[in-house]
Amino acid sequence: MIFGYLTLHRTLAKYMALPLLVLFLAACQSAAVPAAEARHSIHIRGSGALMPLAQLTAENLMQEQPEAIVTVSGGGSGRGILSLIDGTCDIALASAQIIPELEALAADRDVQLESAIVAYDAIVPFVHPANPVRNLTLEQLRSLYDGTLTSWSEVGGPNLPVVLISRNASSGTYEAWKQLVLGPKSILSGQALLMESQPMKTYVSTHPEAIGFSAFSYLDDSIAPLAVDGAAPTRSAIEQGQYPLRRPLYVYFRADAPEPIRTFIRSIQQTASEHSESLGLFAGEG
Amino acid sequence: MKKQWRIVLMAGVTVLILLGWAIWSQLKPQTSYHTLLIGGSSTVHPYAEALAQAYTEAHPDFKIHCVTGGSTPGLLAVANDAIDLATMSRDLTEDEDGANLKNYLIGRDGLGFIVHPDNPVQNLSLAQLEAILAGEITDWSALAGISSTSMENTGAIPEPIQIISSPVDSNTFTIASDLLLLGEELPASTVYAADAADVQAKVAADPNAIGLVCLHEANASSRFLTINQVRISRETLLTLRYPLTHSFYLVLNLQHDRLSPDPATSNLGEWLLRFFKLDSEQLVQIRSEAILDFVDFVCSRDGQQVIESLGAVSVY
Repeated sequence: MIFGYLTLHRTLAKYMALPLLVLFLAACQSAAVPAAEARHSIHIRGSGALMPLAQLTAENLMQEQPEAIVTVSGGGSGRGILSLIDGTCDIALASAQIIPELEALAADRDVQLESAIVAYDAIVPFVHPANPVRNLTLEQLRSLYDGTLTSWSEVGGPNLPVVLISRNASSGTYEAWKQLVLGPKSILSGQALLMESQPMKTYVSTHPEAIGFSAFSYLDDSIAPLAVDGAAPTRSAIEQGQYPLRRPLYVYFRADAPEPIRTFIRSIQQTASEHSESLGLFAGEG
Repeated sequence: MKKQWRIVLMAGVTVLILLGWAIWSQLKPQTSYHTLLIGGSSTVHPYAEALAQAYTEAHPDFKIHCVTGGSTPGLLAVANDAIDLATMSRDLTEDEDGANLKNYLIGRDGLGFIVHPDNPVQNLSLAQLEAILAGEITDWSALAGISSTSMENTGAIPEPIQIISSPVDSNTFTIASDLLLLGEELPASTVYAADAADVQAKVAADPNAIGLVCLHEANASSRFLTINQVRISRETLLTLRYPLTHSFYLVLNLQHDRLSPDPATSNLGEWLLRFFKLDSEQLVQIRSEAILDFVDFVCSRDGQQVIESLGAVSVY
């Protein structure tokens, strides 16, 4: 009897040893994987042109919900969308539509993106205040930035060589400039110096031969904004659609974004319509 | 006959169990026994060390080496796959950034300036602050935007500016160097306090003082100046609106094809790896998982508590 039981036991052991071992190994494996933690934070990255709007919306939310965490970071439109694709942010601020390279990367990594327009703004070319030029046609701007015109004297200015300043290719403002000013047939002159918005403004404010461009909200007294095709970049001219270099500003997010992210995006849109003037942005289609 | 069979069977089972144990003890630890090399910003270094310590306490098989050398060398090293993770105390520039660099925001800190309660100054522009720290503005009355009447109203008229700094080996001083001093020294008249509490005490005792402290070092009586009209707070650091905000990043290279710096733990381990034809691709995979597991910890509640315990603002 006892012997029989032991035999049965051994037989069981014989047949069960390997499966048990496999199960044991599998258990060890799964125990090593940390349990996924629910994230109670929203991370926003991207274009400087939309940062003031995102900051205002985020601070309002954190005031209402003190336990909430909403972070805002810059890095440009390209970095924002890249971070959205690689999972290091939840909302990307983009001052232009996604470029084909990033669209391909998202498809490659099996990430589906959605976008929404949150506001509009204008891109404004600017020069040193001592430069007498205050107006350029779209055609002249294109000829300057593709390198056809190289002296200020060719557009009614002093006999000085033109120093072009541009944003680099990951910038949404550059992308919009490419579409609105350079057009499909021209490419940016290889002579252009590439800078981010703040350094560009500092450079142009200290170099009378330089020309740069930025979002409307970046303009200040240190530089002289230019009229384009005779339309000065004033709030009313931009609102009424007379100023030609106007562009939509987007947020991008993952198609599977949870409800808190979507709610926050609606808050961004609402904040944009309520505070557009103080933020240097423009609401609606116009 | 029957007895011999049993012996063979028992021996077989024993061998299976032993082999299973051997595989488990050599291969399984292989996925967790790992050495990570983290390098970069000296500001983030104390945070990286504390995070590494907390992580290795929970994962005794893990070794993490943290080295300093600056954000830029750290980024270059990780971009060239020479280290596993770079710590950075600044944003990547557009030129440095690339599709293969994944950067995690892991914490924020901010540099604040406190003054005596009787000081009528409420706000400094970034330019004014830079001029004070460079020794170009040495007198409170020279600050634009302070009307003489508001100074008279207070009774005490602050005059020569007395800068009170944390010691040069403090984290606060490192942040000040990164954000404002950019390698320059503070004016010769600067008083270096023993620690943050001493900065507070010295500022509380001197109506002409301006003290450098991080947000977490402040106490209830600290009076912070707004900078460019923005008050330092957890919220303004999280949204980056406060101009003297420091962001801490962990950067990893998605395109690492280097093996672990510590691929095999023993000869038996190497033999088993060969025996089971674990190729280098799997080892790269193991390394990736080790890096990501550490990053997951840093972004988890536990990791963020380590960041908070050292004074930074948690971001998850």
